[in-house]
Amino acid sequence: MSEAEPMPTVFLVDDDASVRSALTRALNAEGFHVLSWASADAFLAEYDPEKPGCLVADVAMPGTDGLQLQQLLANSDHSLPIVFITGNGNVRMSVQAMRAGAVTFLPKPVRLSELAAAVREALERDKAARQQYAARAAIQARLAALTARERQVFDLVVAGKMNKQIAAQLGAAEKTVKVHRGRVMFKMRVRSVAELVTLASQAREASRAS
Amino acid sequence: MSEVRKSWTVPLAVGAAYYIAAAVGGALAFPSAPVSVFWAPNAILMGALLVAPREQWWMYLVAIVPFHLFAQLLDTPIVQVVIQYIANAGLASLGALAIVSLSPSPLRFDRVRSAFTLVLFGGLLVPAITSIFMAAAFVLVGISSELRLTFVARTITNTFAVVTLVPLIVHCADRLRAGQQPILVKRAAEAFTIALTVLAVCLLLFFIPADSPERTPLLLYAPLPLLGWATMRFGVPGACAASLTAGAVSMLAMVNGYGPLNASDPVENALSLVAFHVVMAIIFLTAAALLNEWRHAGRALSLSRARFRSIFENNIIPTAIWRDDLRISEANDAFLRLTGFSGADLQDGKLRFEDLATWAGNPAAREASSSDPLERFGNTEHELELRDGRRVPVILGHCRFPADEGGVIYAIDLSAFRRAEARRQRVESLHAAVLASLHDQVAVLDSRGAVIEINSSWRHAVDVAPASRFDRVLAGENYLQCCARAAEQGDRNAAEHLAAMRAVLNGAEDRRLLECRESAEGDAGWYEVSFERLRRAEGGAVITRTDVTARKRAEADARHQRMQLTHLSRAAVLGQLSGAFAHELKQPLTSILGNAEAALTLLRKGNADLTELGEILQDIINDDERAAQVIQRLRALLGKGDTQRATVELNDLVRESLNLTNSEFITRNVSTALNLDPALPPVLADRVQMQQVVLNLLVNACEALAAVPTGSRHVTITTNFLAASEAAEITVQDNGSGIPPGDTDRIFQPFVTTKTHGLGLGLAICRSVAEAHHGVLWAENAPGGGAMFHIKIPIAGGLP
Repeated sequence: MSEAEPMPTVFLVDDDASVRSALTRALNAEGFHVLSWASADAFLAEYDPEKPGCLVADVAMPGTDGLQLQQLLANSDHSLPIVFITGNGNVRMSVQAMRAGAVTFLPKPVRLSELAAAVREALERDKAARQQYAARAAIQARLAALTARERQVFDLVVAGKMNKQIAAQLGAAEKTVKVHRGRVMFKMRVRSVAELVTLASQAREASRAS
Repeated sequence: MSEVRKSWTVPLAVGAAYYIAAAVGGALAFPSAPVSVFWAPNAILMGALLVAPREQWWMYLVAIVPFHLFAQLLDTPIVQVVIQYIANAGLASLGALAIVSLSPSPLRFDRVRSAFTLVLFGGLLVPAITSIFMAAAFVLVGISSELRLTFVARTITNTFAVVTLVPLIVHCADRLRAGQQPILVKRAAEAFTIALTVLAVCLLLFFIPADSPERTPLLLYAPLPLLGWATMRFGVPGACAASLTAGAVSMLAMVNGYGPLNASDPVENALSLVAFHVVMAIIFLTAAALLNEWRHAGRALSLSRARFRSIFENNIIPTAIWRDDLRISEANDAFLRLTGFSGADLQDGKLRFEDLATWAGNPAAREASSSDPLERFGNTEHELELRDGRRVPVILGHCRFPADEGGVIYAIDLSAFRRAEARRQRVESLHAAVLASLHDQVAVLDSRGAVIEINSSWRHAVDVAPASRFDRVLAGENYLQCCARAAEQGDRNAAEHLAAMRAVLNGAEDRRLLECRESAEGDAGWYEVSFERLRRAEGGAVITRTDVTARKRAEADARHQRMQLTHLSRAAVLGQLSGAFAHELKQPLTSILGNAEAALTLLRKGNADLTELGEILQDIINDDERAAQVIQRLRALLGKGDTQRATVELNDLVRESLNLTNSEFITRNVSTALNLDPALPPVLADRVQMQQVVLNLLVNACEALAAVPTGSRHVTITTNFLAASEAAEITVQDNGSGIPPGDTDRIFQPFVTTKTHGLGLGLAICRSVAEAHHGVLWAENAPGGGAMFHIKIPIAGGLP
């Protein structure tokens, strides 16, 4: 975890104080940075989505339980990777958790090696997700720089139309279309139509995800 | 003074009479003997003595002295006067003494015996003795040489006077003493007629001149029919008065030279006349006495007949008189009422008693005694055939009349007695049958504790009981004494029995129940003994011993089964909660593992901080203890031990139960609220069972919330101290859909369940636990929705 980015945090939520303290110690010993809360609600109140990290949560908790917490997080922009630990788990519960995107579902008492591995995987996922998110954000920024006419030309170029066809469709001169096309290629920082099409598909994916 | 005068009046009057009679006697003297033809003074004195009390006799004897002197002193030598006084007083007093001593009282001479005494002693013997004395004295002192004449003359004249006058005097004195009595005119006239007739006849016949040719001694018999008349009609006084009159007139006639006697010697005539009158007077006196006695006997007979009839007719005992051959001649009303016959049915001896009565006893005895038909009916039971053919049981008694053909038969009706006896026997046999049919052992005691009666169960129990048992008493023995003896030797059972029996016998209690074992041995039977006061005036009690061994064993079995069931149900609840318990254990295990691996990692990396390692180890220890506690609680709940009562803090118990089920609540997304009453005192209860109830209610509440959306599932546990009823209450309330209306009681029945799994025993067992604590468990729906379960137990706890 020696990267230039800020140190990722393990967010630990468990209603049992001694479990919290023991797991915090263990994860600290493994070199993780750990913050812990006694309930899901307390965590949600302080949680900053900008901070990279992962969630280690007990499933059975008074108030908002682990699965509800997972649901709440999934509905927000930044889905935090979750490692569930439970003392009283069953198959139904674990299937629900995994479907909703949990990293893993570990039964208590949990071995540190397993927990640490799961946490590492979760942090990896978080890192990947954050990078993907950053890339999409860049494409969106470039698309946002296009004028309305340039955006029309962009969509038609990506759709595979020829300049003549685009000019006919927009009711403009072919020369004017060529100028707009060159400007789009510049603003989107691509040299070929193929690159432009790749960018366009990435942008569609991002917009679908949001 | 007046008393003296009064007591001397009668003697002096008698003296005066004596004087008059002496004067008369002097006038009627024998021509040639110094004795009178009619000498009444001695008889008058004798009569007076007989009437007077004997202690006053001396007064009469003294009172006549002056009159005697006065009558004779003028023309008589003093020696003769003295001799005559002695002879006269002697005659009167000796005669009176003899009569009083020998004659039966009352002295009226109207019985043959008393008349005979008068004649023999007063009339003949005593005058004869005194006359001998006087005659001899006269001869000795030379007053007279006629010894024989003096003796005979004085004797017979006194005899006549005594026989006629003494009864008269006694009779008159009687009449005077009896006081005023009505005089019947007819009777007085009859008496007067007789007196006149006698007087007339005597005057006419006796004053016949001496030379008259009609002069004959036979004329002396002429007045006799009149004397007979007087005797018949007036009895002794009549006879005496008539004899006296006839004698006196005839003597007066003779002294004056008249009379029926015609002998040449006047002395002989006089003696004959007096002798004749003496004989007649004796005959008529005796006849009067006989007549009177005969009349008396007749009256007595008719009186006795009337008495007999009265007794016979009015007797309430049915009585019949039979003649020979046992024919009934008469029967009284009671007999007729009993038999239904009328008087006409009995006439002419139509009914024989033998036909009426049949032998109800032993036929053999009848044969044996059949020789005398009457013997059959002697004081034995028979059946009497009534006129209408019915038969009634009777006791017959009989007797023969003395020296007569016939006798009496009495019959006493036994039917009422028999009915009463039969009723008594029915009641007794019912009583005996009821007692005998009782399985319980029953003994009846009198007020002093003596056993009056026992039934067969009691007797059998006594027969088979070990010798050590104190209450092996039979009828006639004293229960209290038996108990007291055993109690003195330290038998606690006996002491309890004694106290109970005394309390019931002296009326302090109407009933007491004891439960005891026959002996101290393990398999000895159980008995319930009831002491019940006998509700009657004489007091007493009934003891009923019931073998309750089977019931006791059944109770023990039921207790055992309930305990097993309770345990099973507890195990089932724990099974349901196993996930929660596992979680409760996994929490500390997770901590321990986490801490241990943290420490290990730190050590491996070589940057272990000793302080931190210490903290880690301390946490491990704490978590281990926590896990141990969970296990301990589970073990307590799973334990199979007997119920044990101890003081339990219900608030702690609720908290602990909630801790144990915490994971379950969390897993099921149920929030809990505790509302514990800090004033709740410890209660006496079985901790494990109470915890089982609370756990059961908590699990039920959780399950009831399954249909409620997560996040709004609540369970509230409340404890309350109910000071007024000295009870503790725990309430478990959920906010589920509640109990279907009408099921709030049904859900406590065994095998009633609303769940898809489970036996439906949980609540039934919870309720039995509550009841075993003398408490209650009930359910209701909360006003705001959801179910509320309450368990309420007394602070003091119930008996196991």
